[in-house]
Formats: sequence, structure tokens, C-alpha cells
Amino acid sequence: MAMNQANRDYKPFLNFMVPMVLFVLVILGYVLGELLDGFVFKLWLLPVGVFYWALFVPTATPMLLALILALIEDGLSGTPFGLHGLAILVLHYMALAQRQSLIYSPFAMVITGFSINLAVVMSAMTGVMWLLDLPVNLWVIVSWAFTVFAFILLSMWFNALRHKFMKD
Amino acid sequence: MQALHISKRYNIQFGIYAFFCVVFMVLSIQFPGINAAFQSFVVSVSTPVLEAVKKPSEWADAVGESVTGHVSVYEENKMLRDELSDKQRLIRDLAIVENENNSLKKLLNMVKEVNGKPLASRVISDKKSAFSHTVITHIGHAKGVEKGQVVVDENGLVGRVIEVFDETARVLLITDYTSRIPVKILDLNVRGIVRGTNSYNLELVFTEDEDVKIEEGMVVVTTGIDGLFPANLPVGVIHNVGKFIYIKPDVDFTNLEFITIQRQKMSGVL
Repeated sequence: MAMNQANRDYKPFLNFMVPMVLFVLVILGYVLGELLDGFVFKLWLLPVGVFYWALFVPTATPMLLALILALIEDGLSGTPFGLHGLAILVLHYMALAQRQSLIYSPFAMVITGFSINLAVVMSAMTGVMWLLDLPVNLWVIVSWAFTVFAFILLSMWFNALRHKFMKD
Repeated sequence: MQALHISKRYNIQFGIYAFFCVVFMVLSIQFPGINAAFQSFVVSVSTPVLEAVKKPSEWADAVGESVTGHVSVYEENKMLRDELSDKQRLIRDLAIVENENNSLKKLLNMVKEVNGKPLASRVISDKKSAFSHTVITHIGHAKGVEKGQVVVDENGLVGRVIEVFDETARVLLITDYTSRIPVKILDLNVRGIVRGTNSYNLELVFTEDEDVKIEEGMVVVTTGIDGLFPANLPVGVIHNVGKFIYIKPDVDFTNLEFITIQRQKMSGVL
């Protein structure tokens, strides 16, 4: 109920724009991954967008959209089909579950929430990869830190976009 | 920590999607072909988008390189000018060295180009006076020495045999006053005549081109046009240019101990 109320505050164009932004994040993450080839860490941008938009505009960020984008990321990154999908699903679910608490909290709390959720998801992913005998990146903590930093930066841009598409 | 406010519909949706993800994961691990086909599909579909996204970064790289190139072009130009100057200096030096090398090569070849079988001989009598410059060798007719044969040492032209005896021979040195040798100045490629002075110098008495600028240090060799001396035998180096042009012989006539007689057939030459 509260979710629907919050969504009614935004213009419908946001429903089109958010998927585009998330898709751009997938592509950008892939391109940055190529540019940063040789670095031990990876900048994972999709969870940044999924968590933010699922938190603030959930109707523009359906679970199926997040899953499809994550599966595309699986295809691009070469990981087993469904690994990123499951991780993003969990993150999306967590964002929706914690929405009532975080949406009216100070932004620092949002960052903290994202950091904790991302840590849980990345740890789980690393564990799954280890169980499946896949190459595990032990610099996952650095990747986590960079992704949290990217969340702080991108959130500023997302905030600007969100406020631009708010109804008067 | 935080209260979960989520509808049952989302829970079911999440459960279904998560189940499918697990199934996909298991299938892609069990059947790598499926995973590879899916990845191939995703990559081929995404390629145009990825290329389009990469374009700005490629343009940025190109612009950056272009700007950097223009900024550094002044320094690079200056560096290239300096380098060019150095190279030109090196080329000049190289030409000098090459010329010198050619001269030295010619000088080295002179001894080799002497016809006839060489035979070394010790100088047993060194008669040099104000009136004549000759030496006596310890080999003569018995060893194949003939009148007119050329005598050299390791440095260059010594003279020629003017008298032959059974066991000895007399050699007229090029420093003798009666000696005349057709020569050329190697650096100018100008021919002339050198005569002895009965001293340890030679005198250039004639050049075919009187306008040439003869300088000290120029190398003088035989021309070979007289048919007696082989061409390019080292004679000496010009060391005094004035009213008379003097040549310092390459051979050290003050200490002539061993010489080499080129035992070529002289019939038809003299």
C-alpha cells in the first residue's frame, strides 16, 4: 500500500527511464571491466541501480527486469547462467523488504543498508563459486568497497533524476 | 533490525525466479554447452550496443592522443632538429672516415697488388750520401732478382733494382736524386712526378693540373702508368707546401734493414 502511494508521486516516464538506466549500468560495468582489465577487483554496477531504484521507485524496477538484466550480466561475464541472477534477485528482494525502514531514513542509513546487503550477497556468491569449484576472487572485499563507493556517487545522479521526474 | 514489509505476491515471485535461477545454474554447470550457447547469444546481441558505448571512450582516447601529440610536437621538433644536426655531423665525420678508410684500404692493397713472387732480403750495405741513395741486398740473380724489379717494405715503396749480381743486387732508393716516380695525390686524384732529393724528403716536381690546391697531409701513391711500379703503392705524405712541395716518405729510410723484392718478369718492361 505504502509502495503504491510512493510510486504515485512519480511521472510515468520514469517506468521507461529506469530500465534504460539499469541496462546502461550493465553495459557500463562490462566496458569498465574491460578497461580495468588486469586489476584484481571488479566494479559491479548493476546492484547499485537495482537496489536504489527498487528502494525508491519499485514499480519502475520490477523483479523480472532485474532478473533479465542479471542474466545478461551472466552471459557477458561468463559466469554460470543464473549466478548473478540469483544474487540480484536477493538484493532486489532485500531492497523491497527494507524499503519501509530505509526510504525515510537519512542517506547514510541507505548507504549502510546497501553496504550490508551487498556484503551478504557478494559473500554468498563467493561461497557458491567456491562450492562449484569456480575461480574465486579473494579481492572481493576491494570490489565490495568500490561498489559501495560507486553507489554513493551514482546515488547523487539517481537522486537528481528522481527529483526531476517527481510530480509537482 | 529492520521490519520486512513485502507482499505475499512478491514472496511467491521471488521464490519462482530464485528456483529458476538455481535450475539455470545447475543446468549450465551440468551442460556447459547450454551455458556457452547462452553466453554466445547474449554477447552477439549486446555487441552493437557495447561497440556503441565504447565509441566515446575510443574517441576520447584518440582526442587525448591528438592533443598530447600536438603539445609535445614542439619538444619533439626541437629534439629532432638536434638529432638531425648530430646526424649531419656524424655523416660528415663518416665521409671523412670513409675517405680515410678508402685511402688506407688502397694503401694496404698496394703491397698485395704488386706482381711477382716477393722475396725478403736483408740490407747488407746502406750507401746513402749527398750524391746517391742506394742499398745492397743479400740476394741477387741466383734467387731470381732482375734489374728493374720493384722493392718495397711493409710501409711502402722503397725503390727499384738497378744492378744485379749473382748473390747481391743494388737498389736505387726513391730518395735518390736520379729517381723519378709517376705518382698521384690520392685526395685530389691528380697525377704528378716525384723525384728524390738525396735527403730523406721527396719533391713533387710536376702536377698535371697546376690549379689544384695541394694541402699538407695528402697521400701520394704510385700511378702505375709507367709499367714499372704497380699502381697505388704508398709513396709518402705531403708535409710541406710552399715554393716547393715536399713529401715525407712512408718508408723509414734512416733505418732500412729488411726489404722485399717483387720478382716479376721484367722482359718487355725495361
